Amino acid sequence: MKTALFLSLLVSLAAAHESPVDHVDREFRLWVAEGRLHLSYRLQLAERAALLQLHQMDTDADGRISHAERDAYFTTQAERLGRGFRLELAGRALALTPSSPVQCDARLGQTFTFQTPQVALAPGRHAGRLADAHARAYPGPFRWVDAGSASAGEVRVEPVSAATDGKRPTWLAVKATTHPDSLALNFVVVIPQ
Amino acid sequence: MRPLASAGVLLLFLTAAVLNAAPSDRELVQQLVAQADGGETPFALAQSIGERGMTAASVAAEFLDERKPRRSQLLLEAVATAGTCRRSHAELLRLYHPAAHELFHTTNGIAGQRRLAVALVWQEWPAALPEALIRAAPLPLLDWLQAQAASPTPSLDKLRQVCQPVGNWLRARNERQHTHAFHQAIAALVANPAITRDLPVRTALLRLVADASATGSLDFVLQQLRLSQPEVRADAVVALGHLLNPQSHGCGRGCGPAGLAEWNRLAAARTQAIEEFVRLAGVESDVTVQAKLAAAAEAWPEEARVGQAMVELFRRTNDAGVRRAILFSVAGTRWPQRAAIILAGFDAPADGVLGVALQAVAAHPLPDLAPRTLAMLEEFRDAQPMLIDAVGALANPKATPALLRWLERERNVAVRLKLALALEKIPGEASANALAGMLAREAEPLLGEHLCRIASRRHLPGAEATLASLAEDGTAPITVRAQAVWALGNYPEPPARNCLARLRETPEKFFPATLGPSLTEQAQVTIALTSLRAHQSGAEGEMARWFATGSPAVQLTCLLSLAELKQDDRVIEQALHTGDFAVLLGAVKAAGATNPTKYVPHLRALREAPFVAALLTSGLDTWGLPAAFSAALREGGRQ
Repeated sequence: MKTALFLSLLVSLAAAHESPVDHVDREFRLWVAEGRLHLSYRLQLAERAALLQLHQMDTDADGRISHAERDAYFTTQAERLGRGFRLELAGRALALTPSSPVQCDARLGQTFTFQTPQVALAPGRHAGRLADAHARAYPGPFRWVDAGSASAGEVRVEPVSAATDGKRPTWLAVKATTHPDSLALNFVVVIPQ
Repeated sequence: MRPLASAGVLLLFLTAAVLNAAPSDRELVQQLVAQADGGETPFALAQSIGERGMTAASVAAEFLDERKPRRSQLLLEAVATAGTCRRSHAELLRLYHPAAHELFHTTNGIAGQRRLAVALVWQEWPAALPEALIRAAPLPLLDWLQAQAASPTPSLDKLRQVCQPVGNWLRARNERQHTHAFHQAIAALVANPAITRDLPVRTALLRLVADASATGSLDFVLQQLRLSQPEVRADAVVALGHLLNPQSHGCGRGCGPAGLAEWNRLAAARTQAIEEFVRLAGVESDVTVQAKLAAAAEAWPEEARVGQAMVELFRRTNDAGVRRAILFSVAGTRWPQRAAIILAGFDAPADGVLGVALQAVAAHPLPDLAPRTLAMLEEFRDAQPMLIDAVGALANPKATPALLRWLERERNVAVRLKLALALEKIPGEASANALAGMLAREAEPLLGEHLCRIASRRHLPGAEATLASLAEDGTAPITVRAQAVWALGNYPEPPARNCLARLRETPEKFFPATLGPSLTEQAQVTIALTSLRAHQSGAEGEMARWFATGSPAVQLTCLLSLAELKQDDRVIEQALHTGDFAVLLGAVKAAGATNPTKYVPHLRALREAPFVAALLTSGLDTWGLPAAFSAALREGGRQ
């Protein structure tokens, strides 16, 4: 493969069906509990990427992943992912830090959980935005998963559904590409009276 | 303001939301059973049960019932879907899918596999059973195959049902655990006359031998070559071609110690089989078998006796399909008779034979072929795509006038592109001037992009001004501009250097933010890499900065650029430690192209690292990474 050829391919890389760059499927769940905003962030890997992650984990190169190797790897990953988030809520920048061990699932999924420091918000609707730098390196489809069907009287997090074109939710209208700002979720935290 | 922390009810809300997420495996399976028993066919539900994995599959197996064929069929479809995970590496399963790991990789799993395979003893097999068995219950399946192999009254119908799914699984290199056991079972089956006397089972087994690359059954295949039924001989020839072709085994010469051992074993088998192959090629009268022989001949790419057998078969047969098949095989071999066969193709051009012969010329531009090939240029008024490729490969300047004549008349973009690519390979001022002229005039984006690439590979007189103009032209397609920028690095002339300086100084002027962050970033990376190519001051540091902060796509671009420029850089060593596939691919290619001797120890250790080795031998799409490793290590060993 010639470089020049690849350079032009890069232009449409994010939309390519097959690529040497492993795409990652993402799921976001946001909810509020104990005065903090929580994020559940599930990455679903391609098998090729998952195998090379094992290569990274296997620091003693014995072909088996020990608990220590696994935990060390995922702890570092969680911190790295956390650093890649840019979260704003009600006009304030908030850090997201890992809050519990990663959960792996049968579909090569890794679910990381993060939380903000405690924040105080008055009753009302508070706009938030979550940008994900990890999507810059690993483009792919993503979706918002409702963390639960809270009633109107409960604190809840809602995706912003008013689109500029009146057709699609804004957070879906923002396409995942190779740029850090390309994957950003707009949401609202609703604090009941 | 009221702190959210005070809302204790929120935790309950969350818990309810999470616990309320989805029905259990058992609930879903019961739902499927109710629907199926009620006469419905809920395929999607079976699929979603299967996607939950082996725990759900095990629940599904509890409800298998010989008296309920519809339900059992759906449940086995779910088991088959879940069982796809068995193709994954054991450690992946241990980490992500412990239930599957226990089922497939521990002795505790044997009982679970037996429960999944309960339908093996049923009178009538659901259609989904063989697929479910090979994926989710390989051990009971192997036991069953061995029992059939030992039986004087084997279940022939069921054997026929099993052969194809097992073959598909093995051909896709999904089998990570029991390949040897399956090969042994196949060898045992073909040794049982009670099985092989049944013609449909025998042909199904021949296909299975081929799909499984079961070289242990080579003798059986060779015996079938002497049978009177042409359909058996045809399948046997196909099997022979598969068995002896290194590509079928996923590994050729130099692909690690295991690959080398396989290569040597295959070489011995090829020697064993060649007498029989050449004998059959000399006497076979059935056209179908002849065509299969022609295709299978590729398994001996360097064997002159096979080349001679193909020359004789070409002359003996009157069938154009057989002749085309022989010529297709010629393209992938190094037989000394290549030119003779291609010239024979020129003499029997009808029914597409000439086109394939010209393709063979493109693959083997031998001097003996030049006079006849070039003479054809005068026979055709209009451009002939395969002839263009052939004369391009011959790289003979005598072809240039004819190609230019065709270029003048031809309007089809694909054919014009072929003409440009052929001219690129032909040395001389005439072809260079013609290409420079095309570059200056062509408005079609695809052609423009390719012409920039040509200008990047071959210095074209006066092209620097056109390239500079394209690179700075905000109205030109971005793909053309990217190629033009990269090509500028191939031109030391002032217009190119000045343009590059302007691009470096104010990239945002030429690639404004309105293009979007992704494109502007890629444009800046391209400018940095072009500066490196043009040996501009500070370019190495610039590239290193992009590499350090770039995505895998950017890093891959940097590495492939270094490979193309054959320029070693410390980022290559850095990239060899990556956990990203794309970066690893670029790093191996760059290491092999720039300084292979230096990187040999690292590359060797990397290729033998357990999970990289698992990746290289998997059925996953590896974009030629095994070959890149082999090429880099071969090159490193040579220097």
